[in-house]
Amino acid sequence: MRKDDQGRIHLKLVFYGPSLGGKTTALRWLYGKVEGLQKGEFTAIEDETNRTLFFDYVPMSAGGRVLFDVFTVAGQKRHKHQRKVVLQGTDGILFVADSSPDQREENTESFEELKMFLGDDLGRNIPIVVMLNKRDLPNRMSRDEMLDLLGLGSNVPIYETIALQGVGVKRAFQAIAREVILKRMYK
Amino acid sequence: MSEPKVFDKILTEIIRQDKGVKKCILVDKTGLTIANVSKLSAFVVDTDSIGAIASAVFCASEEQGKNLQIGELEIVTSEFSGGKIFASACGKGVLCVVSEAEVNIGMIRLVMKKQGVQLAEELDKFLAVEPMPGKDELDEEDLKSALEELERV
Amino acid sequence: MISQEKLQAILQRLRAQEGVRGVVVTTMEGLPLSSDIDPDTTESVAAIITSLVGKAMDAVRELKEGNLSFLTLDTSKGQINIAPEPKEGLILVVLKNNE
Repeated sequence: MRKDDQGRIHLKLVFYGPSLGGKTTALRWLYGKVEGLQKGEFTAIEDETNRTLFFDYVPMSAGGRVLFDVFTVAGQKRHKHQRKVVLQGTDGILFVADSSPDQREENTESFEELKMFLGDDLGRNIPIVVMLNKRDLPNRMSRDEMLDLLGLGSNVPIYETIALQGVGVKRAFQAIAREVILKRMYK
Repeated sequence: MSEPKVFDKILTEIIRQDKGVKKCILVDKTGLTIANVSKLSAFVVDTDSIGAIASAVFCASEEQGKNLQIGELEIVTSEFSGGKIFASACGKGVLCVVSEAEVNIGMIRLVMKKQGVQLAEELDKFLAVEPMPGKDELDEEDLKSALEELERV
Repeated sequence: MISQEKLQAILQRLRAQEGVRGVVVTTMEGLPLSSDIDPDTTESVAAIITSLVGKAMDAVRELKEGNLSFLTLDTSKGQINIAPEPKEGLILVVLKNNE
């Protein structure tokens, strides 16, 4: 949590997860389709095929004097150091897991990397909400299989989403935003 | 917490040093824009996203320096056909200056280094969490109302 | 652009003169190219003298007095001689002690 020169509270949320898992798609959907959120400009640092090279960024607010600075990371493995930079000072993580069975390893690797970067803070001082994305895939992994894969218990809020259609995205965002605010109020 | 106006004062000082300087932005290392000052003639841009990129670019270079073990990063200069961007280390933040292409680079570097010291001190005070009476309740009100708004989205 | 050898020869000659405390060559962008004094002073000299030369050139142009060819600053410590070379994009600065 930080404040700007007008005394407004800023909370930083980061969409994390494996390459092509739907982080940017989910953020773009929030940006384009959710009317109740006030948004600044959408900034994307991406290559010519629209794959994120560094990060996407949008400031959002649900009204009032609290702002969410929402970032996504570049998911490809070689962008590890960029992810570390984007994670600096994050208040909450929205982990976007990919339901395709051929992304099993990518999901675990990405989650392990996140745990390595944030250490004990993850899930304690820095709340996490998990999106199981691409639930429309016919051959998707089961929910239990994915939770098992990531080693998640019942203490982490899980949302099944289809980022392309926006299914579940708003609720997942509300959940992480709520968790982050509550963490600040009752720390 | 220090008076926010102090940032504007220092940034204005920097902008006055060279006629080619168009914009000064102070960001922290998480990408948050803390203060900014522009010349009246400067183009209107979304400062928040400029600040977010400035901070990330600087931190990425810093990370690169760590990997290569070549010490502390002092200044990043980006030269464009129509202008220049300077970003310098400033304690817990990054000082970013946008200028025209034709500019006294030496002067800008000098001023950034000099004012950077003072900015870093002010930034430390600004970021230090000093509980003030009544302050926490105020924040809690803000957070509470955000929570309610969030449910209505 | 002037060759390194030629430039070095000029600098050598200047440095050999009596009372010369320092010789700095800076680009018109305020970045020092060559200097025989400490780095911090060099940086300041390059930045501030370049700024001064820019203003002096503006003044000369406004007054329609042709081109600026030389500047001398007399100070309590001595003299600063400044020779701008816009064609080369360089400024030569010589710091001298009082005789």
